[in-house]
Amino acid sequence: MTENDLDPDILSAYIDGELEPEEASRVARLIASDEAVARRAAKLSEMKAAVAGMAPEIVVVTVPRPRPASRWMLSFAAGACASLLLFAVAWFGLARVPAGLPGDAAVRDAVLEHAAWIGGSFTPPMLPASAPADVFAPEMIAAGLTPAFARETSLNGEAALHTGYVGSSGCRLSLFRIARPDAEHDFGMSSDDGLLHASWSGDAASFLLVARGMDEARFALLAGALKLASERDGGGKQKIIASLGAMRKPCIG
Amino acid sequence: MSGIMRSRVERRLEPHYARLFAYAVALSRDRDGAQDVFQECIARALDARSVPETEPAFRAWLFAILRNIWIDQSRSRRRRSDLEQEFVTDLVPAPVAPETVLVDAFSVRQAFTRLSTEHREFLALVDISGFSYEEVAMMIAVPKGTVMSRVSRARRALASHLGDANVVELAGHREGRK
Repeated sequence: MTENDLDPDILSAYIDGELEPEEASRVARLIASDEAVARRAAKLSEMKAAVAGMAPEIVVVTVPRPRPASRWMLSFAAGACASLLLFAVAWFGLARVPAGLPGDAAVRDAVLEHAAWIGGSFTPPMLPASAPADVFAPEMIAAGLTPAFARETSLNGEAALHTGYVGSSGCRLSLFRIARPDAEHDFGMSSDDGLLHASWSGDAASFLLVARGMDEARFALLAGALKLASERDGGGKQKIIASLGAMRKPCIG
Repeated sequence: MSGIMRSRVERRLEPHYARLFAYAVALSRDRDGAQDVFQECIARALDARSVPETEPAFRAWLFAILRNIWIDQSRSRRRRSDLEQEFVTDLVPAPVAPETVLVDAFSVRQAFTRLSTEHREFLALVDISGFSYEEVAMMIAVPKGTVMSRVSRARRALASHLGDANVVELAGHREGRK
């Protein structure tokens, strides 16, 4: 599929999170591989956010907000999720790992590390106010995600940098950068029972992105934007990430 | 409806006031007209003999009441053919690629008011009120695929109006499309 083949209705539905996972994944791959499509997606996302943002201006009635879940409940849920995930991974392994991307073992280790973070098994060091230049921690505050920590880890025996992002609605996103020059290959994304992971490689490194319970369209758009930002000339593409404000949906699970 | 039932429905209505009113503004384009439609909608909901039990059905039912009130009021103000004409008329001046326009809150508000009723309605239901395509399809009795294409068309129309208002285009893109 190329930019010219992409029906505008499909891209619009993708922004609304209305596509079936398989089709959403196809569009996500196109976003990751074609900057023109990424710009179209980002602009549609911006327009959606702007229209949604009109509501407070034209509304005079205040809306009572639902009470957030208690900290105890969140901790319990996170712990239970992590335990279940660890159990499932230990016994069954991960299904549907995209072929040709960082191997199964690396994905498994990344998922375990992500689960350990959510489960509170390690207390990561907080990032300083301005991250060091050698830390790949793209700005995603406009997309509702704040970098929380960066720590060195190991995925399938290879050194990796784990950057954790925290969303205002409880989302947790883990980005792993494996310092391994690799033959460039396609973007891959997989969804398995709420566990989402995407992977891609660049000139100097491979990347893995992991989240659980995140809206699939949001995850795909974030992954596509991060792939663009991770490229050699990715600095100028931060705007694409910054325009993902419309894709804010809470994580479930 | 008994007093207890009425207060129960009132409590269920409250969380929907904001988006319901926003939908009314989107349809009628003016706050006074929207206020009338909104008040009438709340009154009819409170007078209803039965209300849907599940929350999604309740929400869709509420928005459908408001939509019907607005259609009835519009019909009484002008001939139906005029109304239908507005629903099918695409007021877009010329096609503009969405990625070439600049988006800011003021321009979007201006451009939104210039959209046709149909376009305003679909964007209000999906973007402002947060309905899924399936919910919108049920509410206004059209296939889900129609909702998808109309939302997309409404966004293209909005982009065209934004392009018309801003004239500014992102450098280089047009050249790349030659």
